Amino acid sequence: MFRYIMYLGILLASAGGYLLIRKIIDRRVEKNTDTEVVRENEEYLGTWASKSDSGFTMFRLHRDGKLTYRFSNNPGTDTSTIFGKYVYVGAEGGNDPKYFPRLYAINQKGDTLFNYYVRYLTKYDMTIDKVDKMMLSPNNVFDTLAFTFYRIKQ
Amino acid sequence: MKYFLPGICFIFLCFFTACKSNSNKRAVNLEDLDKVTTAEQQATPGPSRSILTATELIELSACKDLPCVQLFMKERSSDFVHAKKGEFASQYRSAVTDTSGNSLVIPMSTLYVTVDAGADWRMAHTVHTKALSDQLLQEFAVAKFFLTDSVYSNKGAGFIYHYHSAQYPGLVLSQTKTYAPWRARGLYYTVTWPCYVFELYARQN
Repeated sequence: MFRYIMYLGILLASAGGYLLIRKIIDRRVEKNTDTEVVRENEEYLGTWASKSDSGFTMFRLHRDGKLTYRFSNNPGTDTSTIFGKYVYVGAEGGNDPKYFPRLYAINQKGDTLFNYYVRYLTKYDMTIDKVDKMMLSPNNVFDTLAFTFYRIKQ
Repeated sequence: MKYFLPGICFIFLCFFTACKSNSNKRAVNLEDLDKVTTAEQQATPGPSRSILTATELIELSACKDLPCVQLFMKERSSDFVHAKKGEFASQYRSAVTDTSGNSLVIPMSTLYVTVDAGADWRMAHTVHTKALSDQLLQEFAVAKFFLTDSVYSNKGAGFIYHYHSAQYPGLVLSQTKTYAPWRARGLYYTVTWPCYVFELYARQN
């Protein structure tokens, strides 16, 4: 009996140690390379970009809550950069479409840059999507407009 | 020691794989964004049309219950989504300007059928722009549907126009412009844009 309890303890300690060391390594990598190492349940972090006929938009959601927002409108060539912060309100409602998570982006003056529902976000263990996607939508009405952003290498 | 060796190996294996993040692996280079966007759009082709054709509506008029309509629309599921029981909407959405000048992004057409117990059978194809309505009327004109009658409805529907065709004896097409295509249902709880409703029934003799 004691032996099994010991094995269980070793297993729990191994899992805990693994997660702890992974976290330490991740933070160190992030610090040294100025990137976000994305893990389970934080898939929204990182740099996202979208290109369309009307222009180009790219934003980076930093781990510390800061936001870097870049955009350019066609046919112009100038890229504007806005710094600020973001708020990600998680999906407490699980898969219920009434409870999409929301993403608020706010500039340094406190003005809202955008306030969108996260209609779709590629999960960490997803094997179907070849590229990470985030779909933002102005509303949670089924089957309406959504903007697709792709994860960009930082 | 020999008992702990597999565990230690497992831990080291975990450490070696710890540096890989699945999400980061799926990131693309900024230069490849155009390619990825184009590939995604091609992989998920959009709907090819916004409304049902006159021929399809004539075929649909033979249906007298929901399963028949569902079976018919299932074959057209690339263009129409079965949003709710008895409510089909075109997958293609576009901007429609309402009477206040606001731009609404909504499906270009819907096909609703009655599902309430005890309600009379009704099946209506509602089109949300005049251009599409004219296009559908033109298709019916090709099938030799001609205007034969019009009645004024005081239930918010305005004038209802009836069309008959010698090619399809017994079929009556009714078309109207209204702000009340269905009473408090689906997309039509608060209608602020003109709807063009097409209904096709076999005449009851």
